Amino acid sequence: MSAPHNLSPAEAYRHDLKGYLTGFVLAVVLTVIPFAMVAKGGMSFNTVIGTIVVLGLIQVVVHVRYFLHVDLSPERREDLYIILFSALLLFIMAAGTIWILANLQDRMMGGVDMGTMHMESGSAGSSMSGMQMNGTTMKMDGAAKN
Amino acid sequence: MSHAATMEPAGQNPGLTFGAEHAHDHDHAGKALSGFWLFMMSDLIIFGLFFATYGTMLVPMSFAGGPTPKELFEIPGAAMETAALLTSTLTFGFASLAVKYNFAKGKVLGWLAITLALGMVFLGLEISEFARMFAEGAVPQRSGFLSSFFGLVPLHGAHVTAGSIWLIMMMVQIARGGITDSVRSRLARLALFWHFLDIIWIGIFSVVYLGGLA
Repeated sequence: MSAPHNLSPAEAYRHDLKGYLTGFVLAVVLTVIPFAMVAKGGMSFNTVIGTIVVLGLIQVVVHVRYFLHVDLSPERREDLYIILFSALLLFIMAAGTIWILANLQDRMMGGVDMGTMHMESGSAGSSMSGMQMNGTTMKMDGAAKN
Repeated sequence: MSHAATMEPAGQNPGLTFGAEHAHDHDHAGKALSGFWLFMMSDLIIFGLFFATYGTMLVPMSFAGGPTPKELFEIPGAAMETAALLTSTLTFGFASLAVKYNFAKGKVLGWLAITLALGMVFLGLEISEFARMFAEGAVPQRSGFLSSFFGLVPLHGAHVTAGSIWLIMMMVQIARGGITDSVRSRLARLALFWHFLDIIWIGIFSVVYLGGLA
């Protein structure tokens, strides 16, 4: 953030202004690309999601660097540590939550989504309907407990 | 590091400062800013867990036969909200620069007013989006997915509302008392808060809107 100390106030102002404008332009580019991809469609789901995730993470770094002015300089080192530590905690809790609940759903539902069950039940093959039976039993089991 | 440690007793703020050599921690404003970083990071954790909850609700079972993300969300609305918030973060940057380089207080107030107006545009778009969803029967109690949506996105909206109220308070303080040291310190924290909310919004438009429509 802070301009080199040998600059005059006018030069320092231009330096800082350039920082904000650079950040803004980068943020606009990183926002427009994923929006355009989703609006246009036609690409594979994984490609689109991958692009959204990668560009989103880059944009977070851009915002932290140009708007929050946290960079790799020693003066901002402790803010950077706080951010990185929070990000680590967040990753453990968020990824852990999603992992555990996805796993739980898998065990509870036997891999069959209740939302899609009624649509599949008519045409499903024998092995499939066996799984659904299993899922239905589980569901009724849960209902009986309540 | 060791040199600096002999200058000042270490462990004044154990856990908060990792060394005593940082100039911005020597004054009150610097300490207040560091404390505000801790608040923002705990806020980040709260948002993160709402994101995680939302993530677990993106399975057909959690739609409970109700509306799905593809049926609910629209690109133009999300794009306009994003544009308003991103531009407001730039105009707040201009306000910060006007304060830092001692511009006339009219300029500071002008940039803050534009920032506030963009924040209001954002909130207006968001409220009209929620109203449309409610009219379509997409209410929080409809499904687990909608509960988590209305936990996450309005939480961000509530933060923007709080930031807007704070912004109005600062504009009143500047208009009445000019740009004093305490105003500078408060504006520095509000700037962090406002930029932070835009970072949260990156997560929302990526995960909720673009992820839901992809």
